[in-house]
Amino acid sequence: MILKAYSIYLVITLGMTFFVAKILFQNSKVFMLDIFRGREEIAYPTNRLFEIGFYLMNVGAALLFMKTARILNAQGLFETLSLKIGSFSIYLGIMLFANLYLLFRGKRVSSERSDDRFEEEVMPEVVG
Amino acid sequence: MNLEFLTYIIYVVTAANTTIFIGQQLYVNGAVFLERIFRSTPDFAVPVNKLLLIGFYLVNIGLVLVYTTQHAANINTLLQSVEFLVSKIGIVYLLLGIMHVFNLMVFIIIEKKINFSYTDSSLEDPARTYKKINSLNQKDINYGKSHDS
Repeated sequence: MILKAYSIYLVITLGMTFFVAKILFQNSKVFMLDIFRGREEIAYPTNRLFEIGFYLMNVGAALLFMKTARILNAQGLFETLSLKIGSFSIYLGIMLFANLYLLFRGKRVSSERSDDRFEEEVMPEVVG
Repeated sequence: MNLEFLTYIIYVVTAANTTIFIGQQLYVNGAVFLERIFRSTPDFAVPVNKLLLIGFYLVNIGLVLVYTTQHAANINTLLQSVEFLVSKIGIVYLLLGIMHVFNLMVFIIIEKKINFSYTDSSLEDPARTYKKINSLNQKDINYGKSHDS
């Protein structure tokens, strides 16, 4: 019974991690291109590195949180799995929002910097 | 399969279905808000909307599942089963309401931050700025048209 629980847990949590990472890092390409001002040779590798970091942290957390006590019957299996998978899902949601926060912050910092440089060098008459 | 297990399954299916329904509604109706928030960078609206939807699903379904195993009462009769379902699903609905308000607050915060930084130093790159200044009147006319039609 406990082996069954472990295998169901691993399949569901790893599947969730891969699914969320796929969607997150497909959609963060727009942010990365904006942060790096359209320079693809830096934007895509950075995106890839963020993705690898996301995988490492989440797979690591899933494996760390796997161990459980003895499970007696189908109901116990259901209760244990719902607690474990639910906690992992909340963790994944928090990680997703943290990543979104980082992207927004990067976007703000990048736009502020380029605006300062722009005001000084390129078009002082319009800004002033 | 005893009554307690059956009740759990009914609870999880109902709560997950409600979460997915509410998430879809928020996704469809929040698109307009996000398009307005990201009016200076229009290609951001759809990705941000998708990520918010996924985060909403993860947190809500996680809370539903965690909450299942807490305070697991003895369920022997049909009455106890119905009582369990009503109290749990009621709290899940309250939770969904709180998450919904939280999502709206996120919209307002993003709106303030992003459009503050753009109006503060409202320039990103020279070409776009020249275009903006040149087409300012044209844009206002276009907005008026789209609202009328």
